[in-house]
Amino acid sequence: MKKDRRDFLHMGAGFFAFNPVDFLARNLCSLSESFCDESEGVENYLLFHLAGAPPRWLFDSPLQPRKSDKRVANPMIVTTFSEKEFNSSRDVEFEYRSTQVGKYLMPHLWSLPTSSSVTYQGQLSKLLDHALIIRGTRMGVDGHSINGRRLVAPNPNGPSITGLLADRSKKDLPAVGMTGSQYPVHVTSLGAFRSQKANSLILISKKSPDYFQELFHSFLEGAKGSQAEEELVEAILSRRDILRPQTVKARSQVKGLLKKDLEKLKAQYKKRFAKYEKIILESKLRRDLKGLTDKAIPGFEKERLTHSDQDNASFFLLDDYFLGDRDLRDALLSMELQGLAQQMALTEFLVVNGLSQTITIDLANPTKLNLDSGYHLDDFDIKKKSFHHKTRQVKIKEGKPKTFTFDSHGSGLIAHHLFSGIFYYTFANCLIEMTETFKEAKDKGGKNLYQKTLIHLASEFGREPRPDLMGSEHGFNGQLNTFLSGAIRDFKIIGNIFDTNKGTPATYYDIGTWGEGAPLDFFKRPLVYGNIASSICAMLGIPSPTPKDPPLVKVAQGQIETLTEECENVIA
Amino acid sequence: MRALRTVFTLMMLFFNHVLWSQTQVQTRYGDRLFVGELLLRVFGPDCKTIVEKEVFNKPHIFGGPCDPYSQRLVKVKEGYKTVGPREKCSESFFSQYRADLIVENSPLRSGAIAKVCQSLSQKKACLNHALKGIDKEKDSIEEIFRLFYPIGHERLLGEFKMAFEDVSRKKSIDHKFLLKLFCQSEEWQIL
Repeated sequence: MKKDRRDFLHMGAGFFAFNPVDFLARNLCSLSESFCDESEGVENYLLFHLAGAPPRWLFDSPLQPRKSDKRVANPMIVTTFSEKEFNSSRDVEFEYRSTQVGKYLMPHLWSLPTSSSVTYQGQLSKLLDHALIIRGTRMGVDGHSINGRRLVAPNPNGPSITGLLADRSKKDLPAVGMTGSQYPVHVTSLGAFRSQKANSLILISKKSPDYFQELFHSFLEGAKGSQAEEELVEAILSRRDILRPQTVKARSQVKGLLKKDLEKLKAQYKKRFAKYEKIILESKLRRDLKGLTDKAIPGFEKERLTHSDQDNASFFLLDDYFLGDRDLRDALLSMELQGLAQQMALTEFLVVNGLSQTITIDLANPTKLNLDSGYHLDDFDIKKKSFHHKTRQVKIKEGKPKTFTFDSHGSGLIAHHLFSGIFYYTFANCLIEMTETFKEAKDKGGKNLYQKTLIHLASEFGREPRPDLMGSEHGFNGQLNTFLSGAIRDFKIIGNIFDTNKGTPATYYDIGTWGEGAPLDFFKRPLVYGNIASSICAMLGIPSPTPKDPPLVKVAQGQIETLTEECENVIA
Repeated sequence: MRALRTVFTLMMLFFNHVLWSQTQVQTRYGDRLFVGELLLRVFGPDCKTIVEKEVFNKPHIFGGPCDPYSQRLVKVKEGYKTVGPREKCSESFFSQYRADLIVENSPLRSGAIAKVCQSLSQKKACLNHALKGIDKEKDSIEEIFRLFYPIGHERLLGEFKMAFEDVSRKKSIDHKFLLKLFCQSEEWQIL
């Protein structure tokens, strides 16, 4: 018996010292990748973060996906200008119109034609051929910062989804992020990057005039030593035990980048950039988009209206001004979508060339709107809904008043509809171009890049319309996620929403259907962001940072399938 | 009984593996101010332009927000003048102000270090300043190593010496090469 115990201890100590399980687990991966292939999933993850949470009712937020669904109308929630001509500001009216996409009704915008410089010519709805929309996620708490960070890091103590992917990445640039919005990095999804293997997010600043130059600056120019000298440095530094593994990994990635013909790649990037610049310019200047830019939109004309006509003044509000220009479409002439062309070009470039698989893009809101004159909000009596009779038009100041802020607390219906509408139209065109490019690029197995890519469109929360029609508030219990990927079989919408909000935490009650999350039979409770995070991880084939919240999808034979079909407008 | 022992051993091994795989040490890298100051100390003030361009002005690669409290306004004849390490905040103040405190290693950081070390070791003034006081005739591996690793790192020094023994049979190693090599070794950035 004594001998047995000693043997047992020896054996135990031996096992602990060599730790064969750990040894095997660590080394099998290097012997064959098939041992470490965690699961089948898409490879690339591109998160487009609409920071500031713009209203998405006219874009990808389906409030009445089937004719039979009950939608309680709210005058603030519209999808088109009405069809009649607008001869004066009193004629301006809106409608909620839908278009059939697959078996669902989607906002009217999806029926618009693509921009002429986009490879695919047809309707915008092409983008939804392989798409999954999950609506009605209850974030539980309000705030841009907390919810922006949760998009990638739903567990405050755990790694971020982007960090987990970077850790798994074998690409030269494990994770790339691009700033765009007015928010500091640490309050957006970019700032929530957390890796378990000391990877870091490579950040490109929106202020950079050339994103490619900023990213590859260190590899493009500068002094170089003789080849023999470089080889000797490499021979010494690549010796075992000199540098730690993560330094060796970073150096090998540098070597990988230096081997590439960056000058040639630069020319390729510039071509992609020019392509997106053209799409953006053409999209924002189109004057034939039905229900959006196909007719003149007169600004507010106080002098021509009677006292009671001033009721619709709120339509024209943008921050501190009631817009008074002759045709508000002219505001789009100088509109800038800062960094969008560079963001799209660099994302496409990095994915097509296999340089990165995790890219987070923080989108900027429209700026430099060509707005000239209007009435100041201070001159408006909100209670009486009218101006003082002596009020005159004033010049609109430079800066913020000429920006359509995604966080549109003080944007009336016209700004909501026209400026966010043209942004979505432009953005959707860029996305179609990108997905078509991905479809063209095929790997050795004949699989196209779109099948290996997951595009995620998300914002911190949805928006609740203000009853005074002067803007919208944070709809933190109605967050929306859209996923685009060639691995998604067709177009599907899941997630329940209430027809109106009654008795649940909200800024306003009984304001109609805006997207507030309702319970799903599948979970016997409403969706929370943990479910979305787990779904993203299931699609990417990585472990979820929120394992207690089950996913809504699974991947089978390379196809993303939903585990529930529920998509109801629940009567509150 | 034997089966029980085996099960127990396997269970212990499993828990050991789980605990082992969950234990990790996070490496902390110095920010742009740490890296830049060290390079300036080694290569001298004449190399300020290179260090400023390649390190101080790259908060997105090296981390390290600028510190507005390190600057102060001093009254001069013509009004006020900012005094303090202004060069660390001057260019694109706000992006530097918002930069991360800590940035881990990345290919970009490795590339930037390789580039700045290459540029510095090719500039005569920088090279002379770094190798000032080091006897050219002597084997000064440790002296040059200590420019970047002032204390400790005995194991790393030992590893380098072993590597030199292997390669010196084939090629001669001069001081300039050593300086560049230790600069590029990157480990000196770790706090």
